[in-house]
Amino acid sequence: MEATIPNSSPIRSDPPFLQVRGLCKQFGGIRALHDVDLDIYPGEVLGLLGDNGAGKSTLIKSISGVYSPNAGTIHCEGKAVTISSPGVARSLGIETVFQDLALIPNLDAAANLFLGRELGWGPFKGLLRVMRARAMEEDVKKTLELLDIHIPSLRGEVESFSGGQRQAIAIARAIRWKAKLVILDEPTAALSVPEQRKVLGLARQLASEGIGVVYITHNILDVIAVTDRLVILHRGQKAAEVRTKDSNEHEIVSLIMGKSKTPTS
Amino acid sequence: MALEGIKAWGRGLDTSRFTPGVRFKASDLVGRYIAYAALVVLIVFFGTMAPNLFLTRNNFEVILQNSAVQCVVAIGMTFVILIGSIDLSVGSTMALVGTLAALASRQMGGAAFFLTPLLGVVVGLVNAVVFVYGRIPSFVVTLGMLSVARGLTLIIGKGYPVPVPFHGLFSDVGIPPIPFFIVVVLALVASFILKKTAFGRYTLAIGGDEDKSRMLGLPVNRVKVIVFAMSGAFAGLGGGILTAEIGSGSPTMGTGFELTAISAVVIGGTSLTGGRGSILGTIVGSLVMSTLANGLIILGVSTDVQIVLTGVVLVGAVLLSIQRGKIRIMK
Repeated sequence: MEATIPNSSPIRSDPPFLQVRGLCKQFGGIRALHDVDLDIYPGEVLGLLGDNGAGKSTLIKSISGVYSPNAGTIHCEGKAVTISSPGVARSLGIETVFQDLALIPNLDAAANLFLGRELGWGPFKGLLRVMRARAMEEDVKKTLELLDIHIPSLRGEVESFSGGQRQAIAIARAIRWKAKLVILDEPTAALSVPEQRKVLGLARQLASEGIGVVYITHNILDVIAVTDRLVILHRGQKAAEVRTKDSNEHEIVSLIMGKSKTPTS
Repeated sequence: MALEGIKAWGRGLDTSRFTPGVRFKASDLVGRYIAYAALVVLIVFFGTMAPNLFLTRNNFEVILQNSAVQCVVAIGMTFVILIGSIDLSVGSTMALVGTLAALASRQMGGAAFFLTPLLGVVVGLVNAVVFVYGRIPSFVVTLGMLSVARGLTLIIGKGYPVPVPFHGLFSDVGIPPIPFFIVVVLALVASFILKKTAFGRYTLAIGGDEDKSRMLGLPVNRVKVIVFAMSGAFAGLGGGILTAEIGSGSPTMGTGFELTAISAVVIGGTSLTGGRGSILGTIVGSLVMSTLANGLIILGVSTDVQIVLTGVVLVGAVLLSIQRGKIRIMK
């Protein structure tokens, strides 16, 4: 598969927020990602598409610090970075809403929003931090009020929340931290139709705030509705990169299925 | 946060599908408070059956004194069970540490007592490293240590108890109500650590979902190592106190104590699958068991029957409180 747009002629002239070059990731003998290039710009919704096993999740997990790639470089705002852990990704302003939401079921909303980044008293760092529970709870209350998200109880375990409420908490967690790039992995999979619309709207709203958004989905209609640009993966390689408005449903489907880009009008 | 564009994003989100069923299941409440109820029931029962012997200040002091060592060891065990693991080596650790400290006291006197948590940490760290970096179940690692530490104790003491110098700091630690005060201080500190520190929160998070905790970048391995080191420290200290109480480090000391400690934690409402529980619950769970033992002695029931009842109480507590909906397969 050839990338239809060569790397030498980028889609936009302004510098990307995140520039990925030659990313490779292997699991044992299996080549999950091979030589993938990706540019993510501020204020843009980038759709990441591909069949099951195409490497979408591996790619975003490599960007969000869950996996460490075997080869390739990542530049963030022009600087070379090694995203060795989820903490590094977060400190670069990359927030991910994982497909399974990555909420800890037995903790409450505040604990989940601040997990790994708890506010602490005094000079203690890391595990020794004495948490400022009241301050964190107030903060979460404000975040949820701003977003107009309603949950049964601030102190209730998220396990007792509905699918939509959990999704809202996971999204609030990504937004709370002033992200520069928000990755939404199959964000509408478990939602009712009105909730799906809300999440689609959110992707556009975030982009209009100048935030880069990576939107991963199987749903072609979602893709056409919300993205500016599409990157299509096939068997771990970038199969195509197109502007959404220059493409159509049929072309997108055939690209996902591994057929080369058909000439359009 | 100044994101005007996403203000009120959630308005209109369907939040009506809240099903309170999961959280407020009866078994959950039973699990959390069964120990408190059981303690009240036992006190009323034994108080009615033998008011003159049971309901005395002196007897309550005896109960507290008898549960002290069990409380200390069970506090450490609480953290282990909260991350969803188990430590079967605490009883043997108590004997090994007690014997070593008794030997050390010949050279260094009463100060040897302060060695006990440190020696316990060493045992705990061995467990932790094999468990976390060898990646085998904690059940297997600590079952091995149960045997290793007991064997080492027999080798070191040549099978005989090692006496502690009769007068001095070490043996004074065993005099009532000092063990009880140690428990109060440790319980407060441990409760603070669990509820107020990042370490405590990560302990609960790991018990709740270890994979997601890793995905979110929590220092899962470090927390697990510290938890097992703590369990070792508390077991070592428990061994030290017991050695002080009986005046010697005995090779059979602490036999079966893993069962006692685990029972106290589980009866105290800590979930065996991890993620939910409290230090106060463990203390109350421990008091339930020593109150039961004490009451039965007062009623003249043989100690053999007590051993049977300990097992029955443990299984009964789990039967009443386990959240079956959250465990898909019983193994």
